[in-house]
Amino acid sequence: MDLKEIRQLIKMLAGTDVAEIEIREEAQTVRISRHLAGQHDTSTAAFQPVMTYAAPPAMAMPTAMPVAVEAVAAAAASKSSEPLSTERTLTITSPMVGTYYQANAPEAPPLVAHGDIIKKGQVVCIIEAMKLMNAIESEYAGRVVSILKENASPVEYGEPLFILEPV
Amino acid sequence: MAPLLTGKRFRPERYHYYPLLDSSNQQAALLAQQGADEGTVVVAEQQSQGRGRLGRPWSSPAGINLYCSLLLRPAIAARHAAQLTLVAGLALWHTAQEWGVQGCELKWPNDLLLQGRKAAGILTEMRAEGEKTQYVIVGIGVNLNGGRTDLPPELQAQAIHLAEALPAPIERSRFLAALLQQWETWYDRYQTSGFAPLATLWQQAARLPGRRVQIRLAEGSFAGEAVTLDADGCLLVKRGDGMLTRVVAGDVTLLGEG
Repeated sequence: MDLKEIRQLIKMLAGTDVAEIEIREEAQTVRISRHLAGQHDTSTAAFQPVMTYAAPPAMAMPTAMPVAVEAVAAAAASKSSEPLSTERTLTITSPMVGTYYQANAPEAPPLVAHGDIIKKGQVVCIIEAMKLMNAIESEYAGRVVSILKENASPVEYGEPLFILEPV
Repeated sequence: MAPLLTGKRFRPERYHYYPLLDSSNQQAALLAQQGADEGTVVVAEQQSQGRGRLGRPWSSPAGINLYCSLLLRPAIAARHAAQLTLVAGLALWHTAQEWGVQGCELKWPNDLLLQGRKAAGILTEMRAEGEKTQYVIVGIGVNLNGGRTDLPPELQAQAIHLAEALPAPIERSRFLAALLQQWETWYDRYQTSGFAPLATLWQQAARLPGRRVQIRLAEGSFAGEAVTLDADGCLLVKRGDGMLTRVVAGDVTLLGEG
């Protein structure tokens, strides 16, 4: 199971009342657990993917994966320290299929960095499809706690790109 | 350059001409952010930072070519907006036809080729908040009246001017007026009937199926046969092993007749 499939799984679970799922594939186990409203706390969006390996995986995993998973877990962890908070993390998703770019041009600095506080309407990345460069505006204000895509990687419609926490 | 504009969108009061701009797309974006209407047209006589895909420079000398950007505010979801780049290619191809330039073809997604060399390129930029399209800017650069020596040395084998296939130079303001008229037509058709009826015409203009192509993606390259467009306008390419690959974003090079 690769990072993309894990993300799709997380997205899929978001629309259900499933609290935990564990998938075993050969030497790899992926468990995603989350706290649902009314069960453990008031949060509806704290995902905690956990990956374990019974043996070294046969194929090298994408380099972004441990970082992204760690970042998601960190976001979840930071939430659990605010047990009374009714706030939730915010996800910026891709409005189209295409290629994700972190900057306006190949040599330009990334539009946002981890920890940045961004405004609603601020451009956070570019998605290209058919030589159309779509500057994606954030629908929310918040602090960037996770950047889920690597530069110049393909994205699907609706795929999460950034996770923000409200500030 | 003062084109005679008679369309319902591209009206004289929305026409902006500048002797020199960094890039016409950049100026159009500025106007869009200030609330400019759909149908706003920005023309630069010369661009100091004309650019194409991935920030590649677009050679933009004064006096011989056309560099223009059209501002659109289509009521379509962001995920469909890329189809406009194919509509743009169709409008451009038909303008060249109307002008009597023989032998033009489209290369996915919207380069205009003449004798296998690039005569025009389109770079589309948009802003979207979530699903909502704020605006779309279609930047069109057309090489019109130059000759080989007007091109930078590195482009001389790859680029061409449309008038090289004609007995006389192209009057630029008339060409622009014709292009905008074609835009009105094809944009209306797209908005009325969607992309599907246009896909067939686009494929004819690109001489699909059966073109051998090299595809360069962010994640690697491969060769194959360009077969058709899918419903979204993505290019479907058949690889040597028979697998169909859907190309959403990448560089296409034609490999000659297949």
